[in-house]
Amino acid sequence: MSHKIKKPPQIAEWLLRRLANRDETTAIVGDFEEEYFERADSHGFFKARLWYWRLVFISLPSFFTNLCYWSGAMMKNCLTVALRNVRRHKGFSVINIAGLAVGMAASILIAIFVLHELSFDRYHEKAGRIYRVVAQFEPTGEKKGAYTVPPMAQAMLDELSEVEHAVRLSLWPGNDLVRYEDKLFLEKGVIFADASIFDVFTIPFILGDPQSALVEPRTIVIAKDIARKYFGTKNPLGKSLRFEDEGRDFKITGVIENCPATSHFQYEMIASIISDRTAFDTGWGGHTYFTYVSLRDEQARPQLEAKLPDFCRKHWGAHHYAETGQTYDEYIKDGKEYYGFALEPLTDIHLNRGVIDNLSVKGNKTYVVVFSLIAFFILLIACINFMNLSTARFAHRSKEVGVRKVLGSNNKQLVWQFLGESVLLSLFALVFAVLLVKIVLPIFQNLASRQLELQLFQSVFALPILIGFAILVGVLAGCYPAFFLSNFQPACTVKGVVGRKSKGNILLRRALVVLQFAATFGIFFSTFVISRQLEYVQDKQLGFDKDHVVVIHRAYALGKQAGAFKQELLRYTGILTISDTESLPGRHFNPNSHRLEGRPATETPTLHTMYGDHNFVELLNLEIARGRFFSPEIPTDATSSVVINERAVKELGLTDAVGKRLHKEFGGAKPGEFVTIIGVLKDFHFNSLHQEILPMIIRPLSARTWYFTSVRIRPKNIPDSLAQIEKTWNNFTGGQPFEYSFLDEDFDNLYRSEKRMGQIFSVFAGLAIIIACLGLVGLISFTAEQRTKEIGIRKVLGASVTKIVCLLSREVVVLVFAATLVAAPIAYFGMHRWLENFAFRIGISPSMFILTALGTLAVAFLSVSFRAIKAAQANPIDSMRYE
Amino acid sequence: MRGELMKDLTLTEELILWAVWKLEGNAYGVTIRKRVSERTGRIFPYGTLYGILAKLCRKGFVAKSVSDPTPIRGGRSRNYYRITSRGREALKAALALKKTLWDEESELALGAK
Repeated sequence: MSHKIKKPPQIAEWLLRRLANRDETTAIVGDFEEEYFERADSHGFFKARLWYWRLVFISLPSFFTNLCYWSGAMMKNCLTVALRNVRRHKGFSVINIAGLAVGMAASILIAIFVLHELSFDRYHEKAGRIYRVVAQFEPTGEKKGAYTVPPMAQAMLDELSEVEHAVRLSLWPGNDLVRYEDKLFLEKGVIFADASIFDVFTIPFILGDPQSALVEPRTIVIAKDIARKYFGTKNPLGKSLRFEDEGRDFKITGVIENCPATSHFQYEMIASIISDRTAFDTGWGGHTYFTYVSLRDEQARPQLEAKLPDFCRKHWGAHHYAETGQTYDEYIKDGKEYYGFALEPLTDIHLNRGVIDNLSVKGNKTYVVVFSLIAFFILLIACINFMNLSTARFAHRSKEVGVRKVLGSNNKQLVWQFLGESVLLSLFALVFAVLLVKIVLPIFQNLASRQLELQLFQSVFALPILIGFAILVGVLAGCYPAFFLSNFQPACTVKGVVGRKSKGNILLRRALVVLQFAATFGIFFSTFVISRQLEYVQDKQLGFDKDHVVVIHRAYALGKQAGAFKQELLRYTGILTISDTESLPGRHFNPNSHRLEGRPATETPTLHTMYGDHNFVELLNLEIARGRFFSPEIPTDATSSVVINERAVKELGLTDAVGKRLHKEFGGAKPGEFVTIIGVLKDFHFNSLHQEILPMIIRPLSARTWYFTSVRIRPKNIPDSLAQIEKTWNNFTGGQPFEYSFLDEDFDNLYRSEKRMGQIFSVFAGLAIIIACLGLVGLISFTAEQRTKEIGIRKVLGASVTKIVCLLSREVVVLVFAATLVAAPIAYFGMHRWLENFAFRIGISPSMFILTALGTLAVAFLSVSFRAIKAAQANPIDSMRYE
Repeated sequence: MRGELMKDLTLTEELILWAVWKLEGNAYGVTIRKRVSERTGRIFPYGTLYGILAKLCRKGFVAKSVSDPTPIRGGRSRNYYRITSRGREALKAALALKKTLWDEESELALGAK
């Protein structure tokens, strides 16, 4: 038995070798082995093995202490050296840390924004199984609308077993005058909902009972802030709020928490939907409500979706058959017409632009992606710089590396030292970055129009993630200089011949510069194109005069006084025209199907409807192509005349529309009554330039449809005219809130999201450029330093300052040119895609590329020239003496 | 300078220095550990042993020499330790201290039972 030599346990031995003090390893392992065999002889191998393990185990603590003691001493030295270096090269350190800090701050900002956008509606307990049911107007699902018919929610609940709860919301942007005793406010956040809203969504109650809160008609629950506004510290339960416009009282049955910023529908008060007659409609034609369902379990979506076509055939099909005599299958047969239902996950709603829902707070998936990319690129540029500068600076420390190596440091230790240093710097940068974010966040909030917060301590993850991120950046930025330096031959480094000869290293650095200038070019170019497109959109001839028009909202508050109000106003010289309308260019026009007299019931083209009075054409200086506009002298104009635009003529399939008749009811369901087309307007852009001009129809205004009164004023003395209008309004309404806007501003608001995007883009473009320039300064400093002797010799031999500046800058120019070549196609492709959002857009011309390239070059050259000139002006005597 | 301050021995250091002295020419890891474990009745880990040996070396109380490799140790060499004259001084000082402390005392004085 003792003949067989069994080796000691390998794993234990390995552990021992890893952990034992390096100088003593051989001796220790030897001791272990000697004693092991001794024991194996007397007690057998099994016991010897056990003993070996046990002894390794109890030795561990002291090994560890030993290890820590030595690395601790080394760490202290490294830290001292690191701090000393930061202090000694102040300029370099500032550029380095500042560059990284700005880059980090930018990416943190964007990360906050992106996370905010992605967090929408995730706070609901059932978020994973709530869906919005949307109507689909095309088999492929390209055209979808969030408005659905009133009876659908109940039908889904009754017939589809997967549905747990269903709720209808009415989210029409409100403008309600609400009174409690002497307190009168204009409320914009009133929505209507079924009682089941609290079963589907997570809306915490402060007072009241969610089960019974909205069961009765004319009941309402209000948010905490609203309760405070009307009732102060008093208990609002059981009190009533009066809605002045409708003259209805709503009993308060609950107080809820304020609406989270990350809800796709915003509310301050939720009233019971059954307060309106529409809620009891049984017809499947009027699309008014949003319908949401919560499913019994998360996996039920496919089953439910499979049942939807039959569900649609049964209900909407029956409705369609009753209207037109055409069955559902016939209707969708040829693929031209379609109607169906689809499910949209709750958490997708905020970023999904594929469904028309007119929500006031709406995200954009493209922007989220684009901003993430920008954050990534800015961070990349900042890291590259950090790397470049660190390499340049570390090269000066080759002597230190040499000495350390001679004194017995190995490569691994040096790598750790430099990685540690760069991580330390990046942690510094993080501190500055967080401070910077704190300062800039309020401004950024405005730009992004979102409630954004840097929650360092509220979330368990924030701080570790940030620090982890800083360490990652430090490691990424530090690994190249670390490995590059630790490989130096001590003999060379001590002599001071370093860096000059390594070709690969220079190549890599050049590649990095090209990459960052490519990114700079891309951001530059995008900003340029965006601003040009926005200029174009703003300056384009719209076919109507949008300037100097004051729009008064809620004009129906004037009631019977309207005529007197207008007469009074027109007496002032500043006021030119007054017109009452339901909607205005830039706002929503209801799409409705219309049917020409004598055409089949299935031929119902969609026209966008607006109601207006006879002054509308004069108000907007519209051009009439054929026929005439409404006239107050002709009584039939008030009831049975309509005016359409040229596009609508084409849509109806006519050449001369004047005199033709349309069914009075939308879609022509009830025969008998007709309206006559009395005129055709020239096309004008009543919607945003994202879209082509749509077919429109203007119907005579009635008291029911009247919402706006618009006043065209003289361009002179606008404040006076405005004051006059307000005074008159107050006189005639008895002090109701005067709410107004300017038509041109309203119209420009259509491009709000693009404008904001443009602004944010330019901010980050600026940052990217600053960071890239810092990088260039670092690079040129490095080159200049390395070529000090060469420059000295050249000067002695008669080279001029200009020549030497050229010599130094030439490289940069070539690199920037290369970057342009790399970035141009990508930038072109990206911006082309963006421009496709607009039906009316500018073309991308070569001159834009040239201008951007020149701009980039100028920026690069500027940042380089200072350092280059300084180097070129140096006295050759100094540089020649340089050792 | 620092050596002067650390002239005093800790108890473990004293123990190991004593073992090295006792073992005369044959003091290396295995024998030292055995001798110490025998005397204290506790298992003495190598980790601690080498930590203290390194310390004693630095203080100049023991001297280290490396032997030729032996097959019993898997071809590894031994580190032999030998007490120096300074080490002897230190042991003497420790002994003297013990004597002054305990000479006139008896176990009983620390408490009966």
